[in-house]
Formats: sequence, structure tokens, C-alpha cells
Amino acid sequence: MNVDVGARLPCGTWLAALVEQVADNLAPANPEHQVSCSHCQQTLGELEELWGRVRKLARKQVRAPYRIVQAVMRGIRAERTLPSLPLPLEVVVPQLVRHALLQQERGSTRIADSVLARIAALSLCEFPAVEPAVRAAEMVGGRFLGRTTSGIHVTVSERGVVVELRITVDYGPHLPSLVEAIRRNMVDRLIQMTGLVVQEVNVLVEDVRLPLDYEEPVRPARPLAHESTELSAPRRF
Amino acid sequence: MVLKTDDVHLLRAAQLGDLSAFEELVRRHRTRIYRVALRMLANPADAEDAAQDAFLQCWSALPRFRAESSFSTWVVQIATNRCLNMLRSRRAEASAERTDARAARLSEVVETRAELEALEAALVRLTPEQRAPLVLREFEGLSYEEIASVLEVTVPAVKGRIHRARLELIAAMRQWR
Repeated sequence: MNVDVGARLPCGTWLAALVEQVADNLAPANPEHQVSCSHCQQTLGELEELWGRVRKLARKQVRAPYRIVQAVMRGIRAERTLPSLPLPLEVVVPQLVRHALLQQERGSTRIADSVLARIAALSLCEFPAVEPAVRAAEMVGGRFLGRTTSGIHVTVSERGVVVELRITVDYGPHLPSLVEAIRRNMVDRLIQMTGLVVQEVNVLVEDVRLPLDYEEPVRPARPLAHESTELSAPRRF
Repeated sequence: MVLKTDDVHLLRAAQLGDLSAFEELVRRHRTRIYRVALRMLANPADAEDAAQDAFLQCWSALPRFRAESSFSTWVVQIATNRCLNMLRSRRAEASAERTDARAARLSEVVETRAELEALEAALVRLTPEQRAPLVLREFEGLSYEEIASVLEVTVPAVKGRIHRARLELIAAMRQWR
């Protein structure tokens, strides 16, 4: 379907000019010639008729199914993502904050997923030989103090809370028992504070660090109370 | 609760995470977006998919939207790009099959319907690069300047593409007479 863009009528008028005149509803460039020229008149007539079909199609009512709106909103809710804008949390409407819902006698209690993640993070502090996959900048004096929740992902479903955890451990301890101790402790803390059913704590041991590798960390002002537990002796080697 | 508000306010609320505000925007603009997609893709099911994708993409891009253009132009831009991508990947598949099937059906339908169908078939045969500006111009009534900003090309380029697209359409419609 080749069209000659530079086609001219026998009278010398550009076809392109007539097409533009019809399609864009413009005034003729050369009205005097056009009125009296049979070539122009014939072509214009034909173009009007043909372009009339485009206009007809343009006028044809198009109905967008309402399910588009429903599908879009379903998609957004399924993602359950906040717009990735650094917003102060209180501006965000509550329904967007992922949370666990507790129906109590005189009202409902909702606990944000981020709170569950913080509880999980803090429970990890009870194990100095372990730290979640945090960035160096999130550590205080080389120590993880549970101030951030990187490496910890919490989801709440009808069946309970699922925690996904990525950790780095000290070289030395028996990993299955260490992880089991972390898991048991985390579940205890979550239940103790929220009463929620903890379905799973899935742990990925991501890295091992050599105690020789790093300097003696600066002790936090207040030593952690639980450092005397068996699994918390990081520098045994 | 969303009262009758203008797009700017809805957009601001949506950017702060208000889902109902965004829902209202989708409700308001769905017809236009669906129509663009329908004219671009010539297939209701694909058009629905494209419209949905466009709005979802719009939601996730909301934080980056800087109100330099209107919401409407912005969604049209997202939808157009979505359609262009679909067309390009479709072109890799068997697109000829589809148009031939349409063309074959043409001889059987009644006169005026046939005219519109022939036109739709001719639209399908335009290259995506020509079809996008033509659809925005003829069916959405956008100005050349608006189309240029939607497609991120210059105004003369838009004019050139629309012009060639019109000539192609006219030639195709002449053929079917």
C-alpha cells in the first residue's frame, strides 16, 4: 500500500494539502482556485466521503467495561504496596498499612507488620553471635541493636504470622541449634507481645563472619542483659 | 469519601496513598484510556488488558509524577506506550494472520458496517509509529503539540507521521470501494 506523499493533482495542487484541509478542517490555502477547479472539487468530494468514515468511527461510542476499574483496584490491593514515596507514616491512610487484625470484645486491634518486624529484630539482639542482613550504616559501633528491620520480612495471613529472616552468624556454633534457638525465642517474644499465632520463622543463613575479622565492638552504654546465654558467646574461638 | 473534586486534588490524595481517590481517577479516565487502547490494538480483550496495565503502571509511578502535564495526558502517554509495546511484540508474532482474517470477513458484512470494518482493518495495517499519533489526533482530538509531548517527539515529526498515516488510510479505503 504505497502512497505517494508528494502526489499532485493535474492542476498542480498538492494532494497532501487537500488531505490536511479535510482532516484538520482547515480553510483552503487557495480558495479562488479551489472553487473553480474541477480536479480540486472532485478530489475534495472523494476525500470528504472517505474521511467521513474516520469521523464516523471517531463518533462511535466506546464503552469501557467497569471491570477495568475493579481489576485495577484488585491489582493494587493485591500488591499492597505503598507508593514508594518517603512518606511519614501517619499521612498514609490506615488501610494501606499492612497489619495483623485482632478482633477483641470491644473493638479491633491492628498491629502493623512493621511492628512485628521490629519485635523480631529486637528478639535477635538477644543473640550477639547473630545479626540480620543489615547494612554497616545500620549498626551502632559494629553492633546490631534492633533499630532497623532490614533482612526481616513479616507477612500476616489468616493462618498466622510468617517471618522471613536473613542472618549472618559468627563462625563456630552449630547452626541448626542456633537457628532453632533464635526461632523459639522469636516466636516466644511475638506471642508474648501480640498473642498472634506464629506460623513459620524461615531463616536463611547468609554469611559467616570470623570473629578475627572485626575489632572488638564498642560496647553499648548499657550491656544487653541476655549476653550470658549459652549461644551468645561470640568470641569463643 | 471522595466528593466531586478535580483531578489535581484526587491526584494529590492518591499520591499520599489514598486508594479511593485513585479509584475515582481510574473511573473518570477509563473510557478514554480504553478507547485509545481499542483503536491502537483493534481488539477489545487486548484493549482491556492494556488499559488495566496502564492504570497499574500509573499507580506505581505516582510518586514520581511531577504534575508538569495533566493527569489525563500522563495516563494517555502511559497507555500509548503500553500499546506500542504490545504491538511491537505482537508484530514479532503472526500479525498478518489476524489482518487477513479480518479482511476476508469484510466481503460478507453489510455496507456501512463494512466501511467501518475496512477502516479498522486499514488502521491495523498502519505501523505502530503512525497509528499512535493518528489515533490521538483523530479519535482523541489531541493537538499536534500534545501528541508531540505524549510521544516525546517533535511537532514536525508528529505532523509528518499523521500525514503519512492519513494518506495510507485513504489509499486503503479507496481500495475497498
